[in-house]
Amino acid sequence: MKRILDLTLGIVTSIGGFLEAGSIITAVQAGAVFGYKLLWTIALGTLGLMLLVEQSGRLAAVTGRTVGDALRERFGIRFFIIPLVTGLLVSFLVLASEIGGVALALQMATGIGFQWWAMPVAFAGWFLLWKGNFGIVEKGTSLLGLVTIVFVVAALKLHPDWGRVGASLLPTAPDHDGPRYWYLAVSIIGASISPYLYMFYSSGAVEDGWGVNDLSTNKATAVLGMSFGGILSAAVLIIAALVFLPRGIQVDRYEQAGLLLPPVLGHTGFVLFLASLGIACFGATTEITLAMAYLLAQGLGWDWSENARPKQNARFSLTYTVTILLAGVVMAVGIDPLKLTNFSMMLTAASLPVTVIPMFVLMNDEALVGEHRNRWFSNAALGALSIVTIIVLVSAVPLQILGGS
Amino acid sequence: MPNGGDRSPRTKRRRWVGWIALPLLIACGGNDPAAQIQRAGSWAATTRELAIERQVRGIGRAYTSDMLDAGQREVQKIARSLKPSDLPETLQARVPAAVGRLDSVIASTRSAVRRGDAVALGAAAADANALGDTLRALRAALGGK
Amino acid sequence: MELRIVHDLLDKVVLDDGRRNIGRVDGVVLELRRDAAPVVSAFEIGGRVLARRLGPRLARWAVALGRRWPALGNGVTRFAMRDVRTTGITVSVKCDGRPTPALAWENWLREHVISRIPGA
Repeated sequence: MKRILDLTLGIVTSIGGFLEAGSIITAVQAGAVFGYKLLWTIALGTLGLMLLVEQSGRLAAVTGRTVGDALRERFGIRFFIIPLVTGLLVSFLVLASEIGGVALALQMATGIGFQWWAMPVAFAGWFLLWKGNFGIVEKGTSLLGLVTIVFVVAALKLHPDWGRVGASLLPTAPDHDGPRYWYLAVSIIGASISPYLYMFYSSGAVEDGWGVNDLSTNKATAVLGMSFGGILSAAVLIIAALVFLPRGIQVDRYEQAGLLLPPVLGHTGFVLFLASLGIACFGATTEITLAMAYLLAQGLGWDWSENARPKQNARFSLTYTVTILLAGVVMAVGIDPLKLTNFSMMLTAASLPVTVIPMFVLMNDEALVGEHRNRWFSNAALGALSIVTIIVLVSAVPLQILGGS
Repeated sequence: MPNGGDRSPRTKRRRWVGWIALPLLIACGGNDPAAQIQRAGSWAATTRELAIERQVRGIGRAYTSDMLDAGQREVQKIARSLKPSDLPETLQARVPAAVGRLDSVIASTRSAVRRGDAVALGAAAADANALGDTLRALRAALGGK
Repeated sequence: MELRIVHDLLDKVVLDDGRRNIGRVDGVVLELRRDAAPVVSAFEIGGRVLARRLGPRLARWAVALGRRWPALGNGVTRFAMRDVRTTGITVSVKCDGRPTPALAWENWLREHVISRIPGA
């Protein structure tokens, strides 16, 4: 019974925690300009994330090591420094975007500029980390995040053409604005597969003391949780395709996304959009902050745990404190949240090879994962994903230039 | 210090700066008039939607006003970046006129929101709608991709 | 005792008697012997050691930093191999890590920063 409860909670958590600033806005941008056409990138990104979450969870359950631990232990500091530095840098920008997302939701509700909200939001996030424990941070924000299901409700109410939705799950070439199309394709992949997600997930498995018995929970959480999460992103894109595209609204400012739901659900839609944006981004804010502190602590061998009192792991607690407040400062200065979000999604996508490719080695190392190492299917899928990430890395800079504005 | 020694790393560094700056210049300098007209059209559509949704109280007042302010700033930016010399002769007067008109429609929508005047909001939505059509036609007349 | 330095020692988490993480094995000390293969006599924890492995420039910076601000406590902790209990996925040592330079920062931050923030 407890197992089923845990499993349900795990799946629900991944659904509620799936959407964040980047996945919302990239899906809106894609739907507004290209209709359903880019749905395949959400499918691809979700499959990739599913794969990485399952493998990093398996690694943690079998060995008690997180992805961060294993990267340093298996490859040594001379390699590890690359994922460490890129991971921290990219996550920091994503973190600032998430704080921006919460601040924008508050701006849209009150009319007070997002810059004024950035520091209070960062402080609130810090307070939750300082006073709360892992369960509260992960489960609490994710359960509230279930409000994002409103996107699925709205998408269903719009009666999309399911035949065309299904057909868009296969990649097609664009008939106009090629660079913009591929730019958004790469951004969506970056928004779906964020390294902080599986770093956080594997650290969470260690925090919760997972063992080999939890492998089936892990698999089910990865497959079901991520699929349902992907459906949320797809729903956002479908709504944008049916509300923004016919009206000719393109996204120049993040706040334009506030017009997504009112035509379908009226004022309730507006309120639920603000709640979804605020809660989803707040959840992501705390998770990314923790993921960064985890990564640094694991890489340098400090004690770390969100379940311990802050005093017990002074360097760890100081790291998340400084990180979240600094990211708040970035938003308080008044950087355009849309530009920052788009840029950080692109950067995330470009940074994928440094964590995805080493997973191959980790998950095939018999000394590390033993009999739970990858079978041919996981390896083939990971191989395909690695190729995608390399293509993404190579095309990131040209696409940022040609399709970025 | 002999100046031959420290020269090459510095040149290397300069070259790096060049490689980074060049794409940025290209990215920022790109002011495709077709794209600008399209953006203006998108703001006309946004204004129309804001007016309609505000009329039925689908969206908050603070949000609507903020959005219109932001739209106005964007439209003024578009107006500044559109150079008549980039446009074909037949459109040289019409495009800036349409963009200028959008600026004033946004302003009147803004004041209708402030007064809570539902009738004026309806009129503003109709104006924005017509302007959207005009801008779409201009965008089509410009041709291109 | 046969020891695979890279596989079982280098970059592994070091645990003390109280199962505290005191850092990672940042470098090893080899003892050269006249007529025999060199042996690992000790390992070290410390930013300066780590920097040395990352390249000469970082190593110089780390040394300069330590010289400029000795208060940073940029010290190196060395553990003799005879104090090592086990190696493998983690390395455990027979000692209390708290007074070592490896945890000097942690202790200082706890006392002077973290404890002063309410709720710690």
